[in-house]
Amino acid sequence: MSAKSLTKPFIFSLLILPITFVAVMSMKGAAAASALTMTLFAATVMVELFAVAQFVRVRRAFAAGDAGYLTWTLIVTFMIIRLVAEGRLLTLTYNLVPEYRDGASSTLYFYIIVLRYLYTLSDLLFIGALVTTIRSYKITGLPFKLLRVDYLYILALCTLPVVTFIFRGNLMQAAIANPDGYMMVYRLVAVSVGAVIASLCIVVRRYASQMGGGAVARVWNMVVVAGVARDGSFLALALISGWSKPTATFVEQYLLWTFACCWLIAALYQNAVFARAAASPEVAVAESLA
Amino acid sequence: MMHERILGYLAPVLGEATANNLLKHYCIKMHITVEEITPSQVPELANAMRPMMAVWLGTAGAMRAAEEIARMGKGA
Repeated sequence: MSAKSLTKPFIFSLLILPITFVAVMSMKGAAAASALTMTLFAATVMVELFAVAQFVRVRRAFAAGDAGYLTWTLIVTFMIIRLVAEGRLLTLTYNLVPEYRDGASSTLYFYIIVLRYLYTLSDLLFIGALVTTIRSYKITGLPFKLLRVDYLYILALCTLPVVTFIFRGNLMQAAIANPDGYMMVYRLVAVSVGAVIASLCIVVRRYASQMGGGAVARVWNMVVVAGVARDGSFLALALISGWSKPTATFVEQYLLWTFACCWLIAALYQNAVFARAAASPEVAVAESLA
Repeated sequence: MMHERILGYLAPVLGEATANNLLKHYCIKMHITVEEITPSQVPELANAMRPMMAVWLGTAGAMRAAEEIARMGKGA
């Protein structure tokens, strides 16, 4: 499986999924539309499983002392923790665990409320991976610099948690699984961490663009799209759920689908980088022209 | 021209700007002009560039890339 062969079906899915959702919603109603969202969630988890296998391959290609080793170790850990969190959410989505109510057992409280923060923990590891990537660019001593406009973008991103806080009432209403009273706090934490991720993504995007193309830049451009899609999912949920809960959960899941696919494509691009470096100059040039 | 061949190999992986900057950086270090790299200087240049290439390609990838670049000098 190559990144190129996966990109076209991914773009096709981005076009066909909203059309399918609108068709199902208008012809079969909200319940069928929610079922479609749940199916998309299960498909997203499958893509994340494929992605983590690719991450492990990439990590193995770096030696322990390489700058990329720490970055990809953090990425592998980030995705494994995220998958554990997704496993928990699957059990809630398909009602395999009872709903949380005030006065429920401490085990249920731990499982439903506390383990929710596994997502936050995984996001912190994602932040670590982005920081080590930025550091890798800087230690080369080559001229990778932020522009003034980047600081404006970062400033704009800092307003995301504020916007989410203003619309915080909506965060209680929308959840793919059963919402509870603690959901709002979690989502506010998540969107704040997400804003940090998106800010760091701006830095990585700028450095990648300053590389002047190439396979390495493609890897980090995909990671940036993944990071922005993750943060966008929270914002979309906050903005849309007051209007339509099924649409809000679908848009959230659609952005998470984008997040998962971009990660998988990024890992495949990174594996292609190693393959190209190992190819003879004639093959490498011919591949780049193909 | 030797530098064009090296850039032709590096640019698809590292990008045109990075490949250019990388080559210039190490040519300055070795007190040689980019346009006047001779085949005999290529193996040493490739070896010098290895640590920086390892940032993106890993130690093993950078080693292979350096070998390929060094081979260009020997084949010229």
